[in-house]
Amino acid sequence: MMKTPRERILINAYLVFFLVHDMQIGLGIVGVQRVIFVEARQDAWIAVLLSGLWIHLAVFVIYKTLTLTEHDNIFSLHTFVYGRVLGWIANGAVVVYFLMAYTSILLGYVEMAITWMYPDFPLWGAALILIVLTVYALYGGGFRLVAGVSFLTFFMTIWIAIAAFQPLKYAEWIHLLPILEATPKQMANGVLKTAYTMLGFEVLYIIYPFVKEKERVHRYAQLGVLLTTFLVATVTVIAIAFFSPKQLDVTIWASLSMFKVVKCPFIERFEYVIIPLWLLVILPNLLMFMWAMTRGGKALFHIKQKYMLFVFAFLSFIVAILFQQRATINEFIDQVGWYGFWLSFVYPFILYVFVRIKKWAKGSAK
Amino acid sequence: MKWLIVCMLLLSGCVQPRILERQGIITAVGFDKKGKLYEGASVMLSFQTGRSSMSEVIEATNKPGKGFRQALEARTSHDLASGQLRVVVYGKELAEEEGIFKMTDSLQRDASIGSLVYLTVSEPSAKQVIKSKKHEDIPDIGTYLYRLIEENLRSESLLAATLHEFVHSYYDVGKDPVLPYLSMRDDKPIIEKVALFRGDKFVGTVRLDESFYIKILASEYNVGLKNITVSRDDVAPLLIKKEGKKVNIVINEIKTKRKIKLISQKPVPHFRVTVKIKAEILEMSEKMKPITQANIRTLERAIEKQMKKEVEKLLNKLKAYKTDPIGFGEIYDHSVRGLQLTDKQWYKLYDDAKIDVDMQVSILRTGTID
Repeated sequence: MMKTPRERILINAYLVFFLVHDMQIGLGIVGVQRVIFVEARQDAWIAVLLSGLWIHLAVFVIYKTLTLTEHDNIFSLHTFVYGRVLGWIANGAVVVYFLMAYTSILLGYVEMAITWMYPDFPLWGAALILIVLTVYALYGGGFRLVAGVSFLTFFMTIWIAIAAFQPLKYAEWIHLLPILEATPKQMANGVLKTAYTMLGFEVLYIIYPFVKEKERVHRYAQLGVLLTTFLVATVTVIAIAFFSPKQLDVTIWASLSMFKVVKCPFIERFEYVIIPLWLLVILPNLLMFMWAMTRGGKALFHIKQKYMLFVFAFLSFIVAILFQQRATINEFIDQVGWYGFWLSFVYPFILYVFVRIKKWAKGSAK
Repeated sequence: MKWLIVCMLLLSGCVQPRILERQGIITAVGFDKKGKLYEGASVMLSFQTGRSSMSEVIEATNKPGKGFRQALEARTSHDLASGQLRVVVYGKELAEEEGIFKMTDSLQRDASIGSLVYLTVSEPSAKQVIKSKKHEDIPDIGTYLYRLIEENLRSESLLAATLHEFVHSYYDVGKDPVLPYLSMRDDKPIIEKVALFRGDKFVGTVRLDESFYIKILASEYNVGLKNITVSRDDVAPLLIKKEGKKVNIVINEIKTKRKIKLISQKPVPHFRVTVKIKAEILEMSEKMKPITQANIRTLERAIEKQMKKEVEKLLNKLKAYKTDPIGFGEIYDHSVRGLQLTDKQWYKLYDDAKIDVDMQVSILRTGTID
């Protein structure tokens, strides 16, 4: 079991709301509509809601698991449940997931910025900038900085949601009809495809020990998830009304393309504000995943987080420059989504059962 | 950590600088078909230090799509930038034979081009329109065309001219795009008609006064004038004089509300269209008796009757062209459960579709006099 962090570096419970919400809202929301729409057609928004419902359940289970024992993060839980060797492997898998998630966000953002704004900028250069930024922030800041950044970026970017209503001028609501035409299979696929966007709440497993008022964590985490579900469902509904079905099928960044019709008197093209601003949205994700990685690294190798930071930064840079084309990046992101789906949507339930069994076994042995 | 900031500043130098004086800003492009090749012309606006900006037309002949960019670049000392592109003109022949989707597709792909670019079809070649020297007091033809279309969109009977709307309708099953149709009068481009499409192919035109009905049927609006000529018999009780055959009325529609409902799908699709218009009278060709409740009713009935006639005529015309800009097919597709309508199926159904029209006009005001 890891030792409890000192009082000085604990955060207030309400920050969990921002952490969970910011972790969920990342790059996915820029283009999620198409991905769900391809599966569930005009019922895509229902898939989002179902997905959200599931997440509420998952968050509940995660919270229950964490309060069940005195082990308060996923790494020590794994060692507790599976023992030294298997637990080490399970922890390794979690760290690999964080590494993949970090790199996929990095690549996704860089690719978007290059396509829309800087076609002649090298991918490795952009990746390097973001990685250096992450290291710079975490080296001096640590976890409290991650929480602070999510708090600030939330307020700096939430207004974008208001701008998203302008495309409604071109909306054709009939596209939403008839409701519930999707077959159960289509709907299930839709829920699955929503997963990548809504991932991120699994960081609860890591941040839990750092929260001061443990009993209020659950409430704020649920609220964060609620807001995410609401936002994703809203942009999905807007996109379905704004694009014609076949048009949405071919639009990569539906949210961004919708901003192409936002007209401001002082700025010609609104997306050019959104894209740089989006760095603020993904920054908490980058920081959080990197921090979680180093936390895992500490659990695995018992090396100071400070040093792990450089190791993982180097690793993610190597992974990032392996990818060059949109197609491969896309497949990679899909893969991460798939991996993340199992880890965050399914695994918490399994882990909960294991922890219960283990605890019961221990109890009866005594 | 200072070196980090320095490092980032250095990296930002990797982005290609864009110097304003060296940019040739494209405000309009035109495409034509000539035999197997395509002709393109574009208006380039350049800024000079000290002097005011000037515009120039450059032309090139090439294969379709983006290849033009290179051919055009070869003819100018400026860097061409398409971020300010406002209007794209397609020659009638090109639109009729080839369809224009391929070309709009490359506009959509380019992130630097906005979705609110206006597309138009032109009666003589697009080149002629682009090269026209008459554009009022506006410095370049691109901006002139842009303002012309914008003005007409806002006040008159023009509808849906943006790239987004075109592509949207093109992709929508059971809905066809419409675009403004430019024609030349005394070497000056003007808008008198609206171009109808089937898919992305130009099929014909309707006059602006007809397209008024497409506009109010396709969606809801609240500005625009409409000139209606009703027969004298319909409004006879109102009139003071007893001569002539027709009475002219100009109304200003304040608000229109439309509802299209699929009543039954078999044996043929049967729609009911209800349009509610709240209007005020701007002009009348004849003096009338004082306005009372009953007189207004008579007037409203007469306008409704005339409008209904005109709408039905228009719908028949659209059916004859096999084009569905109002989107009956879309309504059909989304009203029937578990249906994957294709365009081909829809055109077959559309041909026999029955459409009932119900116009409801209510006159709110008659201006400052009775």
